[in-house]
Amino acid sequence: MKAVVDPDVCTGCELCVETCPDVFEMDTDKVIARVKVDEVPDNAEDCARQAEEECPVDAITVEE
Amino acid sequence: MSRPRVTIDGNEAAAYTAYHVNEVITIYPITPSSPTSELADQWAVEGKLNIWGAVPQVTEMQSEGGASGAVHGALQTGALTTTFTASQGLLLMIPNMFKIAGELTSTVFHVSARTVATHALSIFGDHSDVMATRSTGFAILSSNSVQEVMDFALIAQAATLESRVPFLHFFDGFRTSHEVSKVEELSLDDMRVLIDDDLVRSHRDRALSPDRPFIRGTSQNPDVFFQAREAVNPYYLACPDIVQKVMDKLAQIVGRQYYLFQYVGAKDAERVIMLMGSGAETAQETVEYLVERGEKVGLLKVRLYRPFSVKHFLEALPKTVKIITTLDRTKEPGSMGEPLYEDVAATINETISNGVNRFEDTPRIIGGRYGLSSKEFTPAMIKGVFDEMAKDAPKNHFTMGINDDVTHTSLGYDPNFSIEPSERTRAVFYGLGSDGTVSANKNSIKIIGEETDNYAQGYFVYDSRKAGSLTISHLRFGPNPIHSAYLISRANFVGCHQFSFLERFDALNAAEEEAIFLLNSPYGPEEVWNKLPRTVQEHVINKNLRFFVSDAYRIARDLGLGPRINTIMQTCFFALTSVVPKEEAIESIKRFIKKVYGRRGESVVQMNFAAVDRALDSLYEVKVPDKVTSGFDIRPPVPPEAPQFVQKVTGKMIAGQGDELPVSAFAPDGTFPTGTTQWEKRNIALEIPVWDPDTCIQCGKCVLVCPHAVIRSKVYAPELLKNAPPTFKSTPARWRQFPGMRYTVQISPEDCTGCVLCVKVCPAKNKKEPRLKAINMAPQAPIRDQESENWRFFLDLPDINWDKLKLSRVKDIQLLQPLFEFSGACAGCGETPYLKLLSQLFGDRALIANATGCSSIYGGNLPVTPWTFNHEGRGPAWSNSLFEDNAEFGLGMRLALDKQLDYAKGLLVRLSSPIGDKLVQALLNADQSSEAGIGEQRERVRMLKQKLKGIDKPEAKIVLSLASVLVKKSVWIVGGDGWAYDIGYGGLDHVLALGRNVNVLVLDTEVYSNTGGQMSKATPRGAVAKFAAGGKSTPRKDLAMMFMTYGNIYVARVAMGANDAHTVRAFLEAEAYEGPSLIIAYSHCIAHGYDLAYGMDQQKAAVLSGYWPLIRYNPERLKEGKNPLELDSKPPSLPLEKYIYNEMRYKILVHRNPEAAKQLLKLAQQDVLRRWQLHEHWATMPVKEWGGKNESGGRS
Repeated sequence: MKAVVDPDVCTGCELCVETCPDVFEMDTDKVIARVKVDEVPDNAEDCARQAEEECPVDAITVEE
Repeated sequence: MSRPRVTIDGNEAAAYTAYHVNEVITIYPITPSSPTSELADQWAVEGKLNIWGAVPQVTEMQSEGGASGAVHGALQTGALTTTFTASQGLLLMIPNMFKIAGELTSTVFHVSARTVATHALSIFGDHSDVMATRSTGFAILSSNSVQEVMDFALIAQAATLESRVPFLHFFDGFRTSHEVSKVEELSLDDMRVLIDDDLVRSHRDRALSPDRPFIRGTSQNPDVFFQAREAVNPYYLACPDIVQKVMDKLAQIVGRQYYLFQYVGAKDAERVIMLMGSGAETAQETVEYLVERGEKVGLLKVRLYRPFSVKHFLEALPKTVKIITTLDRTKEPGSMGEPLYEDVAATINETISNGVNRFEDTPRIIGGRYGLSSKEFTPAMIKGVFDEMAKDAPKNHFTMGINDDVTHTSLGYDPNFSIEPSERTRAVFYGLGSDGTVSANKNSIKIIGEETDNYAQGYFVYDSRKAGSLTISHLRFGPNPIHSAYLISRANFVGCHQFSFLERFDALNAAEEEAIFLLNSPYGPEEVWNKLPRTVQEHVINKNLRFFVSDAYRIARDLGLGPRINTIMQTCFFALTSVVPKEEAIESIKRFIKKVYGRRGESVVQMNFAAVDRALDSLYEVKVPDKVTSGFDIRPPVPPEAPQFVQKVTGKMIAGQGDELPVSAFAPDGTFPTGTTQWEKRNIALEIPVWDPDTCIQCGKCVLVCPHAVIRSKVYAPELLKNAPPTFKSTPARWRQFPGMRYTVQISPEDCTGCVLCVKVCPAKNKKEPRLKAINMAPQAPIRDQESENWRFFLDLPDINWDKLKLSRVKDIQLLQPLFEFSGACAGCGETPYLKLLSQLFGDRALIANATGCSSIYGGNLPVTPWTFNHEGRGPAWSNSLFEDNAEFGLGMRLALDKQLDYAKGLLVRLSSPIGDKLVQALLNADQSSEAGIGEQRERVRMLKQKLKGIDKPEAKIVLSLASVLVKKSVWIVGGDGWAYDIGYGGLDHVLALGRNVNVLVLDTEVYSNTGGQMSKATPRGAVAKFAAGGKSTPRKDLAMMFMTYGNIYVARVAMGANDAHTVRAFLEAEAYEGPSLIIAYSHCIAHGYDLAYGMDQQKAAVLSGYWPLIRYNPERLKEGKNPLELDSKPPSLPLEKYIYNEMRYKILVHRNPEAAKQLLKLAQQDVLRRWQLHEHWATMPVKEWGGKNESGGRS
């Protein structure tokens, strides 16, 4: 499973980092979220999907 | 020749005459004068011609100072020129008024006289502004009624042309400027008779021209200035006779005879009162009433106050007069008396010392003040003055209409004295600001005034809250002229258009015996009785009222009219009163509907037609029981736990009984406690948001955008839920730093305005019910009590510790207590969320300088104010100086803090041994760049204060008084675009250029919101605003770009609805920056013309279209070798029209003038691209060459 954050859409609210810290982290330079893993670990798949669903600006896509 | 009768207000009467006899009109908005200017602008756009067949040039300026400067220039170039203003605006014109008068230039300024701000601002009327211009050399002419405004505007114009003395023509703000009255309209031929074209030519011939050059405006020295100044005397000596001549001429053509000093009353009067303005109308009615009853009383109306003609004054007074009372509608503290008193006393004394006493006795002269800030002035008060005059030793320098229990100046009077004639219809209507009551009543006056022989008068009282404001309409109709310039206290018709008002205040107090009471009620005639508070039932029974109900809201809803119940209630009024036969009235109402709603389309017209027909079918008379049965009464205005001052003073004001408060109730310097909005539960929302914890993603956006801070969130320990009310909601907190804690979003049901912004911004979707979100609207009434209990429990939960929060995150910041709550701003206001954010982040150490405007009104308008304090008693210290000086006002705060800090630090060093070197060094070198650091410094200051108390040295006392400045303070300069772009721009520029550590927040609504939506330089191209009735043709000013050019100013352009994290970042960076900062915040506004529930969506669209690029320009970045400008939004991706045509301010031009709209849209789209390119270019410029490390940053 792969996760992608659209940097043009993300506002840096950090909700995804809060929900799924194993997949998302803050890019402190650009002050937006980014994906820190190439492949979403098995135990983080649920929270990655939750982050996708809950992203307030729909900036996250999670694909198999 | 018969002239048309029109029902208009005083401002329109002034505009009507002034427009027709001028060529150039320069304007600037100020309440209550703005409508005069708006009409002039509108007529010019419509191409209405003046009496010479030309369209006057109407130009908005950046301030009244600017307007008067332009007047001066236009006059010197030979144009007939005028302006309209009031209050502080008039004061800003004074420098030019001296010049204009000194140069003997013909002009008339039309002034809707308004209180000058002193211990408080007031938009209401008195003569303090006019009296401040007495020394300018302008003639001062007073109109007392709407008819006189129209007539005197012309008299002044004719007289100024002949006398060359400039005129200030004034009438009472609100009482006359906003009173709708039936008057006879002057024709253009009337104007041509009075305005002598030869004199106009002479005016033009005196103008500057390079074809016959001369110089005017020299600089003179002691040798000649004095003599040259005295050269004007003959003109002032001649002026009164000229005015009288013009008055006589007008009388010949229209039959209304005016005199410089107009006497009314007994020929052998012994007691005579003198005054000017609308109070003279009431006085006339009262004097005529008393004379009919044999009293030897009289009234001298002062019309031409300057030049003061002793001759005309003495001739007008009856020889029999024994005592004269001057009544001044102004206060001059420290003087020996108010202006009229001084003039009259000096005149009579001078006459007698000259040995030419023409009176049988030497009259005694006393003076008093009345009516400041539109304080009521009634026949009862006038009778009270006459009664005092009959005493052996009448009180001098008295006040009338208040209870002065401090210096005991006030006179008593019998409030039950009334002279209202019985044949008059006197109707009082209570409405909500948004329900259309006032506009319907204005139409009713027009129907009655213009379609019957009746005289008509309407006056409208607004409270100055913007959301859910109460409006009270006072309407009089009758066969005889109406001179009653005071509110109706004995109504024979009372309409209450909101059921909930009945439990808020005593609406039927004004009803007289056997009056008709019409109530908009969700309850039918059978069930309504038991829903009424006891006091209402008592009034209905004891006064034998006829009681009718109509469920207007249901009808309006059924017909698709939303909350607009005006047509329905208006129809009921005509059906229940016999002022106009019912059938005729209905026909007229429908004609007005067509006129008023026609441009909104046929469907709106038909809906309103249907409302008229349905109204009559659903109007029911209630069979009134003979006993009071209600188990409840009008609610107390504030709860019993409110502080004493709130109970005693604020509560009275909330209950509408502020008039009863004595002088001693108030601090003499205008100081009031903060945080009082929490005590007034307004219950204005029909629906409120309800939180769904299972769907909530805890992003904090609903809390952030709530304009009234009624939505709050807290994270707290689970054990605190032990005593929670049964319906209190809670869910596990999703914060990594708060494991095991609970989270709640709570709504204050009684403070919510029902704007729906929170629901619209909620990004969470309920999976089971996709139309629902994590916060949804529900009817307020059924859950009010339960949620109020939850709210109280929630407030008692402890606030989160700052140390644990990540202040860069919206959701974390929304756990902080807002120190700005429940303001009177509009439902859905786009400004207040920014102020609330400011208060959350910096409120406990902020000083706020607030420019006059919406934010100063919802921020500081009594009875209750929204800036509040936290549980430690700290909160924003807020003040409003003026409109034009706000940046300077805030700078002064910074200068004082910096100076005091320097002083305190120096003294600390000197006292370091008794205090202890360690503490002194810690205090001096404290790192206060974080909240934790500030907290530590607070603790040190506390220790310091304790130590200082034990040190017996004079310096210790000084340090003690200064100690609090050792804790970092945050100075915020807040205002709207009218201030920042226009009137305050010069000061803003200077203050930002000084490099001091101040933070400026511009709440940019792109229009003068507070005065009703006039164009500012922030108004975008293509938008229609007042003063830009044809759509603004020029692009908006880019304030951010302008200030970026300095290089050392932090500048941000933000839009919360587009990117809230960006907004938060900008606030934090601006405050942290040790130099000047400027944040320009996109603020949606009712003036934009759409449902503000979509405000945040429009903010987003503004950014997507590229119209509002999000930027941060941080000079600190240069230290790292980076370009200071960060362009934080993406290139335009939405066509401009998709953004702007959601808003009526743009759309209306498409309806009115599609060609112009098309052209302006094209130009506006070009503006967007041009500005975007400029931003992009700047943001990507290489900065190496100009990025020396020491170059950036505020002051060194």
